[in-house]
Amino acid sequence: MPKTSAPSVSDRPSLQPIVHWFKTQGWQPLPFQLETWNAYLSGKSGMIQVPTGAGKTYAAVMGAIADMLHTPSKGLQLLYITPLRALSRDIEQSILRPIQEMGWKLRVESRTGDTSSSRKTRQLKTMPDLLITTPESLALMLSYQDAKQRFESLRLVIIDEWHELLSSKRGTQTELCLSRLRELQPTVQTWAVSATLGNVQEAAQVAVGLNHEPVIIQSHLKRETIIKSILPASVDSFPWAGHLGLRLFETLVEALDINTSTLIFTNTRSQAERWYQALLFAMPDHGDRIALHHGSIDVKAREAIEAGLKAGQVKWVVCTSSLDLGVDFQPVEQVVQIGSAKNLARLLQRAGRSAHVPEGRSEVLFLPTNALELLEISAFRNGLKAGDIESRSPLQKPYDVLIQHLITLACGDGFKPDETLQTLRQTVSYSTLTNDEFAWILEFIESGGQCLGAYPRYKKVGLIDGSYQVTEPQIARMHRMGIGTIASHQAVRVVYTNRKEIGTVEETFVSRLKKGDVFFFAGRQLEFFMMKDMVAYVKGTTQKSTVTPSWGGGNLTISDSLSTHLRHEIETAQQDNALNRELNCIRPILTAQQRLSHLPATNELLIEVCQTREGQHLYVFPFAGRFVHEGLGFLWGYRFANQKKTTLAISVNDYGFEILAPKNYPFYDLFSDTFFELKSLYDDIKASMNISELTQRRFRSIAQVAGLVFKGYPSAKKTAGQLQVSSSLIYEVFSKYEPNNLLLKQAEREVIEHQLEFHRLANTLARLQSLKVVWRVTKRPSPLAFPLLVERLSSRLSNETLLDRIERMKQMWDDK
Amino acid sequence: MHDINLLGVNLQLLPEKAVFIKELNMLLVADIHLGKAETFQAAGIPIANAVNQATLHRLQTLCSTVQPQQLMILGDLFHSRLALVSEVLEPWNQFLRTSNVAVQLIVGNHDRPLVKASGNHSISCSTTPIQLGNIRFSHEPEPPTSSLNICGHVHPCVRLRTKLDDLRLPCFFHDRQLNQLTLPSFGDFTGGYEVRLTHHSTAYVIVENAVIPLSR
Repeated sequence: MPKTSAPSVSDRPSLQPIVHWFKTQGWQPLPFQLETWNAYLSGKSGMIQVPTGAGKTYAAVMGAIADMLHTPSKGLQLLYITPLRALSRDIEQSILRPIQEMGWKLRVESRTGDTSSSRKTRQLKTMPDLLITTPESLALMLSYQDAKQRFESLRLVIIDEWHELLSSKRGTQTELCLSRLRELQPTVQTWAVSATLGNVQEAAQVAVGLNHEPVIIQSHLKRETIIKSILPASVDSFPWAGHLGLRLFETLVEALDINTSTLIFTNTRSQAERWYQALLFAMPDHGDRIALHHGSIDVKAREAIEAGLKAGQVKWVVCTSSLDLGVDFQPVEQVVQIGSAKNLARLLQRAGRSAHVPEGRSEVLFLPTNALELLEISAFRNGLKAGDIESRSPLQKPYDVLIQHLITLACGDGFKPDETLQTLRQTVSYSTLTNDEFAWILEFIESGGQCLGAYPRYKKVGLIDGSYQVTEPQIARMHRMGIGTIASHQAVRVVYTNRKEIGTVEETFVSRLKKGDVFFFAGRQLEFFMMKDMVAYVKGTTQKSTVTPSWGGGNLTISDSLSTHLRHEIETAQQDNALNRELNCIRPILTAQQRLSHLPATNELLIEVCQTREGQHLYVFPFAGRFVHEGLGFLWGYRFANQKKTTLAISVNDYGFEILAPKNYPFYDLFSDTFFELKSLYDDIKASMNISELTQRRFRSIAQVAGLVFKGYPSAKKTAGQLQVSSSLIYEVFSKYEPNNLLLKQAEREVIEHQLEFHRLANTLARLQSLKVVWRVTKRPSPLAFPLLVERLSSRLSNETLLDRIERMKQMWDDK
Repeated sequence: MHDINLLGVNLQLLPEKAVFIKELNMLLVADIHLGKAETFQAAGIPIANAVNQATLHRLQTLCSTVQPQQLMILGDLFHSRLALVSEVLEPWNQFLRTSNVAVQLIVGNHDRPLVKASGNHSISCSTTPIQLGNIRFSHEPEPPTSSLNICGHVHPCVRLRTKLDDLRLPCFFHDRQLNQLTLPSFGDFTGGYEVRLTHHSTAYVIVENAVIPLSR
């Protein structure tokens, strides 16, 4: 990376006002802040990587503000992109502070999904000097005409929390929007701000685009992270599986202090709901000081909680990743993680919430929710010690995001194909976009596809004077409503009968409710009243219920580096010496595993078979993370079914996988060394996808991003009814009539690369090959197998006829 | 094919998603949704118009195999106003000309705005349910009476689930309490609505070329 000149204030008279304001605060600019300002002022782009709370916001903005004061101009000059609209207010506040205190003539505003439409319209006409926005709102701005004038004065774009966006479709969308901004205003500079990442150089390059050399600025702040665990007196209190382990709530309450401000992180929203309920029960006198915060709770309620936390009225907040990010939560003194955080970077980020001073020690209390997570605690410690921080890679040219982007541009000023292709190839993600791929996409949005004459009534974009444009206002309106890449299930608003908003739950949850049913949501007992127009009306009730909504969404998996440490823990746990508290605690369970089945050494691969009422179970324990296990499960499932036709259900967790087959399926007889075969790996995985629904399921979010299914329109109900369709139906029609559709190819690629983690799969298989296979027939599932037995999510693979499958199901049905 | 007798009426449930009533020499289908692809195309969603041809082709084949005197369509023949374009209407009229069958349409919710717009289809349309002896034909399910109500509209499907397997299949749905038989949707590009089996209902699921009864 290029070196910047040694930071010095005197070099840059333009920095004087900034340094002056710092003085009035009693602050000294930190070296990394000065370094960033100087790099910006010498025209560079790059990335700042410092711990949370170290002063990154001022590092990012003050160079440009100095410039704006020194050589004033009109129009939008600084664009600040944040992944969470909830953060925009905090950022606005901290940017406004020096501006107001010093009386600088600069206007700062936010523009997010929460901004009123009148303000948005006004902003489109007269932009403020500094605008804080989200990737989706930026894309929306590009869908309006006159973007050239709107962005011609732009000096700097800042992308905050870049690590959160980087490896998702939102990151790709941001990359595409930035490339358009650079096309409109070639001298614009880009600075990304990121937390710790394994692949700093790559992350920076993605942010600045391929025709810039990024400067990377890292602070040399050392921050120590300490993981402590909350353990029960006896391991009997632990469930072998499941996610709750609520039995430990009393131990947690004992470990905490109601006068200490504490963030309690859980991995899912439903866990947050249940823990909140348990804590309220344990602390009945402090109900007003304990709060619940997650992404499905109404924005206003969340803001009130954040304000309460800052003001010190609220002390404990049970939260999900909704509070992973944030500007300044000065008062947070304690962080608790319930259940495994699954990767080191996330744990560091959360731990960092408790130490918002540049130098300091962060501490996190880890509360395992099942016995096996005890193993993860020391794996985490060892991972941190070794400095194994995960990388996050950008996505490789997802076609759906590109299609959405091009239509966005066509809604606005339109786009010229040749220039646009050049611009696209300046992004890391689309640098390898071929002429054929681009031509296919243009044809797809202009005429529906390559299937000749198949789409006579197709209307989306048209080529007018060499530029692709959307001319139908209805199509532009529909497109704007669908801008964004966060795939979600149909959300239903939960509202009191007096119309007060509570939050949102998934439609599938509401559809199971009957009038009078009671459920627990947003920390309240609610009685379901009725559902109308995608709104669920509820009443408060004093009746108790433990039913909580569940939300779909990505399952976390342990990272590669963590899984290596995990396998070592199992080995360590078998030695008598060198035991730490956690391993000591899990000992009785490992002993039970040894007695009932076998405890694998690092040079062994344990396979168990077990017959239950449900069928024949095969359990395999590679300890490689759930995605790899899903890949292995499908690979082996295919290799079994290929020898003897069957239907299989595959369940996975981070420790192993289960293949469930009909009763008496001869797993042992069919198994051989060829199951570790690497040669046919790719072909077999592809073949397994053909007899499963993986691709079709993956297609769901692609169809949403590419604008093939709509989440619904608030204003045009009738049209919506006529356009209602499931993505699986579209998948079927595409597969039948246009099998070469690139969106289908993308779904396949996403399954192979992201879901089954093909690259990790090959490595894992090679490792397993060298292990000694230990087969055990168990009478009932062993402690290691039990969590897989009760796992409710499973995927299927079948090469039997429908008729055979129906007959078997009928049989089971009749047996009941 | 699966023969059932409901309230003294003999019905043949065909795996082609149709019902044949021998006594009346009548073939029944519901929810064809012609022109759904074109409706989607107009909104910028490329669904190939070949789905219409596939649907019509199946109907044609079925008519020439069964040779009914009458074809009763239980509503939603066309998907929307945007469906009434030449690529959809021409093959449909061609079907009417070539198949030697009298077509009766009970107008469905999707057809309703189209009755006027589409004008002359040389078929007879009824906007209200039709009673023939002991059977009441309708598009939407009717309130229970002593007659057997045969209807469409719902696009019924059943979900069969065990820990090992999970299937979602279109079906004929018979509710004994309501005296009602609901037909699966006939069109190729139509979705399904999951119905739940109760103690007083039977689902006749369509599996490949068979119709299999399921009840609790």
